[in-house]
Amino acid sequence: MLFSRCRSIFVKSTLISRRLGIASVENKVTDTDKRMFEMNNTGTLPVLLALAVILLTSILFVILKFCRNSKRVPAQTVPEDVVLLHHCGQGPHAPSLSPFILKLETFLRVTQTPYQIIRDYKMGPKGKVPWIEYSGTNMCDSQLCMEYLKIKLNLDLDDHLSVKEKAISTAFQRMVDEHTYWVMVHWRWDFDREKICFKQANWGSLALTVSAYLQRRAAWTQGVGRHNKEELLEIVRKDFSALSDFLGTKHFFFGDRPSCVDCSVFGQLSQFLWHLPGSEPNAMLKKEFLNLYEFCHRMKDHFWPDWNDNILLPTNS
Amino acid sequence: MGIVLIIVIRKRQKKRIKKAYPSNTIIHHQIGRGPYAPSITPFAVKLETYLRMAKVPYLNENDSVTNRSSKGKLTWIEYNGQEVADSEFCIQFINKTFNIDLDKNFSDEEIGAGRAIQRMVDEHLHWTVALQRWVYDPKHGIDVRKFLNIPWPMFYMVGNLVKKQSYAQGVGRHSEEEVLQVMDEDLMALSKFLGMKKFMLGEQASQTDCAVFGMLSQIHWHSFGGTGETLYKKYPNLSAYCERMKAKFWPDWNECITEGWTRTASK
Repeated sequence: MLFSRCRSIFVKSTLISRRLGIASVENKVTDTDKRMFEMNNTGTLPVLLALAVILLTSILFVILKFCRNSKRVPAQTVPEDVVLLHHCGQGPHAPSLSPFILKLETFLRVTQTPYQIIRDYKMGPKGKVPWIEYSGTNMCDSQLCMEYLKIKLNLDLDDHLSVKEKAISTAFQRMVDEHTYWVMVHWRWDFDREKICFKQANWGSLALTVSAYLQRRAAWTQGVGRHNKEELLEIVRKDFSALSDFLGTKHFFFGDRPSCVDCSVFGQLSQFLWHLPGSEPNAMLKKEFLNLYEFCHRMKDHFWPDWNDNILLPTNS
Repeated sequence: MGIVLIIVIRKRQKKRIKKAYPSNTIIHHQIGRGPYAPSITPFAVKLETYLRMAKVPYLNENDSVTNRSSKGKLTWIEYNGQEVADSEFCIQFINKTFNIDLDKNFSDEEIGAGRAIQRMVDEHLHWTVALQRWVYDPKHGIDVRKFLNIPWPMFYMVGNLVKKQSYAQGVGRHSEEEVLQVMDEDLMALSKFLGMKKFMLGEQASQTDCAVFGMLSQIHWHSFGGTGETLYKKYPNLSAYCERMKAKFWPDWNECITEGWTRTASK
């Protein structure tokens, strides 16, 4: 920058001296220098530079989008009746840091559907994870994946529910996946300053910083992120209370057989229970809503007997 | 320059003109009356229905377009100088202040189910309705620009904002067919849960009914034949429910609407 200022001063002085007829200053001004001087003075150069930056950024964006949307080829040949579950990696204390991955994988285990995990960290067609490949179809969004597989594979997980119970199941699934989830997101990315679980899962500081900013912004846009901590505690208490009151003393949400909503609830509560240690919602589950705490452990014991093989930091509990 | 403009606008919004309101009265700040329902925002209809159900003294102040809450929300209340934003927090505040419990006659399991229904309606169905109105169906359904009296540049701005917000939330990442599918699932759940009952939880109205009525009022009265209304008509018990809620809690309904922006609402 110092060099360009010096050059600009030199060009100005040369042109002025030429006009004054001072022949002693050597004429080193080239046509390019004249054009640069004129452009600088009229402000055209900064505009051109700005346009060039915008153009380069747009090209980079298009390339990245193309790479994301490019056809995904399975890493190896798999039998046709196997679901390929695209995953982001294990969590330190639960099989995933994503409640939706845990929800979908629990569903596959409850329905005993053969599946294979692909840990490729790639986002699905809608920029979401998890996503599945089955029979040549890519499907994103955990709930849409479950609906798709229920039809495709004729799975009867909710067949024992009455019409009213199916309606309640839809309502609870929407509550935990569309509302309680955002409370968890805001808690983990704003209030949990240490982010120990992410560090235990080997997230670097740059990834943590960028993700925290993006997730806080998303939570603000959604609405939940506009509340303070006391208000969020009240919100999460109401959600836990609704779940706890409805579950009561039942083994699963609709009796002795698990159903789809159990997978959703387990996926979301698992993050509060295992990946927000020491937080107020974690304490709530352990002290105020004991039946939810026991429900989570029941789901873990029934459908994840190999829990310790699927987490980064196995324990004896 | 854009940043400076936004800062100036926000500073002006923050400067609230302190009006003298009657004490011990809920001041309900909202955006103003709608063309065929008391508001074009479901949360204002929800909150005002609750105020009527709970028989709490209140006054409407139609100023929240320029006088937003501290959280930037359009529906908020003021009580003896204290501000509360977000319809659910407003209801909890009023319950505590006036010692009201609209759900006292229901079991814990029913209240739990009611809470889930409220979350589904406010956090999921809401986004499908917003996408229908502002992004997918503005021409074939409600003519937003005509009936909501919004100039066309602002219409596109709001549409883009809804697209961005719903994308961040998640529902906006689905295709239009998938959004319609999940909207249908939510409406079916409401219909099956309601069944033949008079209100959501039984023969008596509850807090859940305020949320459900608020959201369904937008489809029932503000869809004008759009795709959302076509789906909704598959569930006639929901239409009957809306008319029942209107008759019970809004006997002065016609005084609270603008008849397609042809007049000023008298209430």
